[in-house]
Amino acid sequence: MREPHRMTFRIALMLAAGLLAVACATTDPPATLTQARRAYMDLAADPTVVRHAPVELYEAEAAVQRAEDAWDQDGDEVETEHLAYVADRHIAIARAVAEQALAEGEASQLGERRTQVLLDAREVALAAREQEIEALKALNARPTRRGAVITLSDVLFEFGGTELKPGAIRELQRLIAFLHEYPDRTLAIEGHTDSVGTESFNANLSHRRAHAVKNILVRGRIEPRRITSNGYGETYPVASNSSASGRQRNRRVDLVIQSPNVPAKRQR
Amino acid sequence: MSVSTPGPLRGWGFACLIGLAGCASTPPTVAISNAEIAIRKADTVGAGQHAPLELHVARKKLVSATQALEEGENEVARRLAEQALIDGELAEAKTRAAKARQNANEVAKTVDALRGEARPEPIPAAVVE
Repeated sequence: MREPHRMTFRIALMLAAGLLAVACATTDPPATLTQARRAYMDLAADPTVVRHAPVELYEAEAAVQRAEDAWDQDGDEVETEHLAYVADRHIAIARAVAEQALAEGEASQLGERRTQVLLDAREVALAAREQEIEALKALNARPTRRGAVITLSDVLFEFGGTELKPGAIRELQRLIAFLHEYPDRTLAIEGHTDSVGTESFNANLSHRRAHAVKNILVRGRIEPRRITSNGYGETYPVASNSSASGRQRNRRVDLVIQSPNVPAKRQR
Repeated sequence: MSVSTPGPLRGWGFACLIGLAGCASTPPTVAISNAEIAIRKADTVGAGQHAPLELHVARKKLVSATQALEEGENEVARRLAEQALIDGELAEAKTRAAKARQNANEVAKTVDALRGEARPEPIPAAVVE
C-alpha cells in the first residue's frame, strides 16, 4: 500500500505531466478526465477514506492513471472518456467503503454503550434491592418464607383492648414511610391471642386489633387494597400458653410485608 | 439472425480474430461474464433496495455490451462491459454502506430506549395524620 505523501508526489507528477501534455497537445483533455483528477485529489485528502478505505483509494489512483495514460500516450479521446468514467466510479466506491466502515464502527461503539447501560441498570436494581433490605432491617422486620415480618407485641396495645398506644403509632409511621417508598409491596396484618378466654372472644379480639392497625396505615394514606387484616385468635401460638411469658408472646399482631408473588393469606 | 457461426466469430469479430481489418480487439466475453457476476452479487446483497439506480444502470450497460458483442463491435462491447462491472461493484458498495448505516441507526435506537427505561421513578412522600 502506498503512503499518502508518496501518492501526493505522484499526483503532482501527474498534474505536471498533464500540464505538459496540454502545452504540447492541440486539444484540451476531456472534461471528465480533469474532473476525475480533481475528484481523486479530494478523495486522497479525506482522512476518513485514507484510514478506512486504503485499498479502494489505491485502486482509484490506478484507475485515474490509466485514464491519464490513454490521453497522454494514445490521445484516444473515446478510451480516455471511458477510463475517466471508470475512475470516477472507483472514487465513489472508495467513499462508500469508507462510509460503511464508519457506520460499522459506530454500531460497535453503540453496542458497547448498550451493554454498559444494561450493566448500569442491573447495578441500579441491585443497589435498590440492597437499600430495601437495609430499610426492612431498620424496621426490625425478620425474613420468613411468607415475607418480612414485624411483630407488634401485646404491650403496644391498651391492656385487653384494641387501641394502640401512642408509642406504637409512632413506630408504625416508619412502616408507612416504607410502604410509600415501595409501592408494589403488600401487607398482611395477622392478629393472635393466647388461649385465655373463649375461642370466639379471642378470634374477635385478634380481628379487631388487626383492623385497628390497618386503620392507622390507611390514615397514613396507604391504599386499603394493599392491606389485608385477619384475626386468627389462639390458633397459631408461638410459645407455650402455660407460662405468663409464653402467653404474652402469643398475644401479638404480625405485620407481613409481601412481595407481589407471595400468597396473601396465611396457609397451613 | 444466423446461428451458423457463434456470435463472437461473426463479422468484424471474426476478422479481428484472424488478424484482418487492422483491429487489435478480441471478443470481451470474459469482461461480460465478470460484469454479470458483479451485478448478480450486488443484487444478492440487496442493491435492488439500497442502490437501485446504480444496479439499473449496470444492467442496461450489460445488455448493451452483449448486443455490441453480437454485432461484432468488440471495443464498444469491452467498454460497456467494463462500465457494467464497475457500476455493479459500486451498487454493491453503496448497498453495504446503506445497510451498515441502517444497522448503526437501529442500535442507536435501542440504546436510547434502554436509557429511557433506566431512569428511576420519583418516590412519593409519606404522610401521617
